[in-house]
Amino acid sequence: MVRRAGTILSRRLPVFSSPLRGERTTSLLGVALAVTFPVCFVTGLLSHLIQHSPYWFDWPSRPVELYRITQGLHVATGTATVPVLLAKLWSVYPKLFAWPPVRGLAHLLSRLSVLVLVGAALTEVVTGGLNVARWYAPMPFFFTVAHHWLAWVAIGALLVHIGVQLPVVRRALARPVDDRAGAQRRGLLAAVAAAAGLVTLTTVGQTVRPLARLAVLAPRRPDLGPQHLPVNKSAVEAGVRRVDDTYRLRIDGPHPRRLSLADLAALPQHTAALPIACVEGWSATGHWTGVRIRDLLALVGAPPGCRLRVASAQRGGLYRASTLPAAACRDPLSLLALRLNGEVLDLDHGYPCRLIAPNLPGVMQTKWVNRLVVLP
Amino acid sequence: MTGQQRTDEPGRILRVVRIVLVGVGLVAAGYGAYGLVAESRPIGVAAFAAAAVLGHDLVLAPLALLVGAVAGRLTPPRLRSVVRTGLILTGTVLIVSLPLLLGFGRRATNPSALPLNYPLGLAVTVAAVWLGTGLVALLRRRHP
Repeated sequence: MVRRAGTILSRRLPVFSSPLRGERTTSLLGVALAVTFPVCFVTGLLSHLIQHSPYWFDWPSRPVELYRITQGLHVATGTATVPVLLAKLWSVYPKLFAWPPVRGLAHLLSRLSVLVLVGAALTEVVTGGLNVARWYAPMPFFFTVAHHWLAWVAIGALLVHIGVQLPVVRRALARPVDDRAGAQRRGLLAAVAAAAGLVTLTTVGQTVRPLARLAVLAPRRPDLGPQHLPVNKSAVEAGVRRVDDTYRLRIDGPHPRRLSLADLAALPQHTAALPIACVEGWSATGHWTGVRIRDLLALVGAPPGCRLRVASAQRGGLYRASTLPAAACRDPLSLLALRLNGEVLDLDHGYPCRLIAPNLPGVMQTKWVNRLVVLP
Repeated sequence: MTGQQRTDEPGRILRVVRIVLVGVGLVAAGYGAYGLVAESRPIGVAAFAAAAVLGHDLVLAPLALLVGAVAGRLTPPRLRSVVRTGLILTGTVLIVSLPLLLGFGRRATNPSALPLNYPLGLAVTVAAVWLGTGLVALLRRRHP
């Protein structure tokens, strides 16, 4: 069945006139996509697991920069995939109009599987692009949930497609190359690679700081924002107002405490250079000063190995609270920060205090913290 | 007999690999489809995917072919590959930056999101692309 589908698909169909098209061009572009799609899938799945940890998943707090790299890679790879995916579709475009459109059940199934693959692949890339540009109106669904589940469809359809087409790819890549067509094809592939390089160069500076000045087409600049740091959700958007002297941080644990801002400032202060690494692929390092999470845990007599629920004054929203993994709770770099880059935290950065911990997505670095709950 | 086996071995491995790929792929895609139905809005996702496919097949791809054909007519044969590269780079940058150019995600309540002048960024990038394309074309003309 699989073999038949493969044979039927691999039969040469009428091709539009370009000599650049052909099994070899398509195969080489396919090999490139067989790298970029799994990279996006694995890094995306990792980000999902960190944010929605099942019981078997323990996310470490070191290396500090790991999430910054995996998520930066996720968005950069997705961006660089655009020209490769479009070139791949171009290379097989004439097959879309093959006649007769369906030659039996196997052919129908293989065409349907390609339709699912193309639909899922285009949708993943487009929704990712819309999300980083924060344009949600065209998506009649909640982005993160759909992007996650559709990624499984895309990677599954990709595996099926590779399984079906493997003999074609093998044949195309094993065949000796005819010189003139080969040079032209290399020119085309070099142009596609250059396009991938160009969109990377003009966007990746949103997370790779030395390239920040080249990032003329990036949705973020790591140095632009209050106190020279970008903001994902501002206080106005979160419906948060500046607290007054009546503010108390409530910590629930074996020995519950309520701390005023003066109490927090009187505790030992520590400074850590930690990045905000956003799921949207930008990141920026700040110098944060505040109280160590593990000091606060000791204050309420929290048991070793506990996790911590960190809740915000933010009204509603999916990200109004987060759970700090056990490793981050123990890590001396994890802070309840009161200051950023030497100044009192800007309201948009979470005044009076925010969580900042190593190796976590920005959405979990809860701002405007008013309650901590020890989870044994 | 042994010769027969030897020639068959790679074919057998290939077949097993293909069956495993298709099998694992079907399970993964099925899991994703189940998740979409259980937790997302499958009709919305399907409609978006359909729009993406039709938008590519009926608008973007024909447009790209048309631009390519017109550019091919207007360009002398030995410069065609250089101009094609310039067009591929320009088209890619245009598509990737389109959501930023339109700027619907920009909010007065958060100035650090989409903080740059994207039309200017795009203009500079495209200018650099065609400057490079022009230079390469010039070199090709001198040393064909």
